[in-house]
Amino acid sequence: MSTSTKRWVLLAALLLASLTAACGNGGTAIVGPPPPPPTGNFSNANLKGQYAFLMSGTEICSGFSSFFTRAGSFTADGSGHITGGLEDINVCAGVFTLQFTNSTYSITADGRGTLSLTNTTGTTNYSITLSSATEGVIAQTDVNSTASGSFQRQNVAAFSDSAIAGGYVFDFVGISATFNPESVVGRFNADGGRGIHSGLFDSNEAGTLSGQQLFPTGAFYQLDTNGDGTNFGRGTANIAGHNFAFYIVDATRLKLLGADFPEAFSGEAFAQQNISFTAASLNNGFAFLIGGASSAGPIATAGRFTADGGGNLTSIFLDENNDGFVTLLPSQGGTVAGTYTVDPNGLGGGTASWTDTNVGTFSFIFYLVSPTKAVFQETDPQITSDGTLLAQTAGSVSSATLAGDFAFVWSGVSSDEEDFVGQLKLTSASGNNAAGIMDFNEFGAAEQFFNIQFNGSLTITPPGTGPNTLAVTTTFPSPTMFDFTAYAVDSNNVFLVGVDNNRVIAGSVVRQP
Amino acid sequence: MQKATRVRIAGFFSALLLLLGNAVGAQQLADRPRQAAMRTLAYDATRETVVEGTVLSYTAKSPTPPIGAHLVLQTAVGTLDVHLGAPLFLQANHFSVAKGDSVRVVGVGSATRQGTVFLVRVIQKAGQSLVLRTAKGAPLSLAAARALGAQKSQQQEGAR
Repeated sequence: MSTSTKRWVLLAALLLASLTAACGNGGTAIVGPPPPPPTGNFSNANLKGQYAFLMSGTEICSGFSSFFTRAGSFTADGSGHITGGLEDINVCAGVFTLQFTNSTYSITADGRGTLSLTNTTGTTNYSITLSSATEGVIAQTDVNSTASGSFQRQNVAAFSDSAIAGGYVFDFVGISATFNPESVVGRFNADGGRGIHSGLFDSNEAGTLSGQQLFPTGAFYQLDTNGDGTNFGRGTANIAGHNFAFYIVDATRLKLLGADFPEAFSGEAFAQQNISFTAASLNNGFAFLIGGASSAGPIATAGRFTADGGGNLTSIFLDENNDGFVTLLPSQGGTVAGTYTVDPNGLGGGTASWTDTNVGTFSFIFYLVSPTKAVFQETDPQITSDGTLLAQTAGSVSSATLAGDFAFVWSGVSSDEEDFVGQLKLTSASGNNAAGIMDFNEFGAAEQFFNIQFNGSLTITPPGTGPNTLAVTTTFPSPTMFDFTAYAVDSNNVFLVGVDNNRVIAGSVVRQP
Repeated sequence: MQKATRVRIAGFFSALLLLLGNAVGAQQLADRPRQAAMRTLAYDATRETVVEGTVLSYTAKSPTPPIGAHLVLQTAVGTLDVHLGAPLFLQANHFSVAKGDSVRVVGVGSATRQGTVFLVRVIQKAGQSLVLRTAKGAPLSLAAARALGAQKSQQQEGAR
C-alpha cells in the first residue's frame, strides 16, 4: 500500500491507543481524532418519512466470507427514531423477511450520521451520508457484515399495483445458482395490473453471454396483500426468470432483492421513457461506471465516450482496474475507435464496442432508460461487470463548478471487501482542494474506522468531462493514499474508479445542497 | 352505456394497445455480436494445465497484482508466480501453504504486463485438495458458503 509520512502521525499514533476500542464481538472499532465541528444545514429533521434501501456486501458465514444482499424500508420520525420498517435479506443461510423495532439514527450538520436497525436477530449498524433530505448513501459497519448502497425517500402514494405501469429497465447483479458472478440487464412492460409483458434480457454469467432473450413464462409483479404492500411498498415479482422481493421508491424506481437461493441477486428497475429508441437517441457525451468480477478477481471500470447519433463513438477514454492491473484507454501510442447499435425493435437495447490498437476490444450491452440514462453491461470474455451510463453535461466542468460539498460511497476489495461512506469537500483552488471525512469497514481485517479525515487534490483537465484525477490521503491511523480517476457526469455527480494496484475500488460522489 | 362499463372497456382497449404496441416476439430479438477476443489476465478454461513443484515462498497479501495470496513455485522448468486469490478463503478451508511444501496446481497461465501469472482453480497438497474457482474460472471465495448452504444449514455469525 502506498504510504507517505505526515507530520502528525506521531499524534495519531498516540491517539490510537486511547481511541481504539475492542468490539465485543471480536472486531476493532478505530475512531479518528476529533474532527472540526461539522458545518452545514443537516440535522435529524432531514431524515423524515419512509425510505427504501438496497445494499450488497460480504458477511461471515461458518468462517467463510460470503456474498449477501439486503433491501428494505425504514421509517424515520425526524427526531432520531426509526419507528418501523421491514427488510428482505439473501444471506448464506437463506432468504428472510425481518421487521425492525426500536431502532435509531443520528444526523450531524454535514449530513453524515449513523443508523442502527434492530430486528429479531439483533442490531445491524450503518454509517450514512445524506445528499439531500430525500436520499443518501449507506455502508454497514458491523464486524460480521460489510455492505454499501443507497436509500431514497418513498412516495407512499405509489404503493399500489396500478402505480407500476409502463416500461421499466433493470440491472441485477449477484451470484448465480452455479456460484458464478452474473449480471442480468433488460426491460419489461408492467401493465398496472400485476402483469409483465414484452420482457427482454441479456445475462452474463462469468463471461458466458445469453444473447438477448425473452422472459420465460411466469413473469409478474404484485404488492403484498398482508399489509406490507401498503405499509412498506413491498411486493414480489418474477423478472427474467428470477424471483424477487421489491420495494417501491416511487412509480419510476424499484429496489429488488433476489428471493431465490442459493443464487443471490439485487438491483434496481427504472421507468423507461415511452419512445421508440433508435441510434439517434444516443447523441451526447456519456460517462459510465461499472463493476463486478473478472476471472482474476474484482474489476471496476469508468470512462466516457461521445455518441454521434449515427452509430459512431469518439473521444473514448477508459480506466479499468482488473484485480490491481490498471488499463488506461487510449493506451500509450494507441488510438481508440468505436461503434454502437440500438436494437431495431425500438425497446432501448443496444450494443457498444471500441478497440484500442494496442489493448484490444471492449464490448458492452445497454438498455436505455431514456436518451440520457442506461444500464450498461460489459460483455467481454471472463468479465462480469455492470453499472450505469449517464449523459454528461454539454458544458465544461472545472474546479470552480465542482466546488462545494458532496456525499460519497466507495466500495471495493483490498484483501477482502471494504466499504466507505462520507463527505467530500471541494474548493475552487487549483491544488490541495479536496478534503473530507469518512467511515469505512475493512472486512478482512475485522476493523471498522470512524471519523477518518483525508485531504488531497482533484486535478481537472479541461474541459473536465474526460479523465481527471483525485488523489487523497487519510491521516489516521496511518497515512493511506487513494488514487482515483474521476469522470464527471456534470458538476453535481462524479464517477470515481481507483487506479491503485493494491485495491479495486469505485464509487460516486453526489453534491449536497 | 353506463360510465363504469365505459371505463372498463376503455381500460381494456388501453391495456390491449399497450400490449400490442410493445409486444415483442422471438422473431424480434436483437442479434448480439460475437464475443470479442479475450484480453489478458483471463481464465481460459480450454488452456488448463497441471503444474507441480516446491513452494519457494508464500505471501498472503502480495504487494503486486493480482490482489491476494501468491506463492512462488519452483517447477522442473523454472519458477512460477501462482495466484491463489482471497487468503481468507484458504484460511476458512484450513488450507495453509509454506516454503518447502510440495504442491500440485490446476489452472491457467495468463500473460500480464509484469509477466505470466498462473491462476489456480484447484490446489493439492499432501492429500488435501481445495477448489478455488468454478468450472467457468470464477473465483469461488464469495460463493463457497452458499455452495455449502445449499447442502446444509449454515451458521451465520452476528445479526442480520
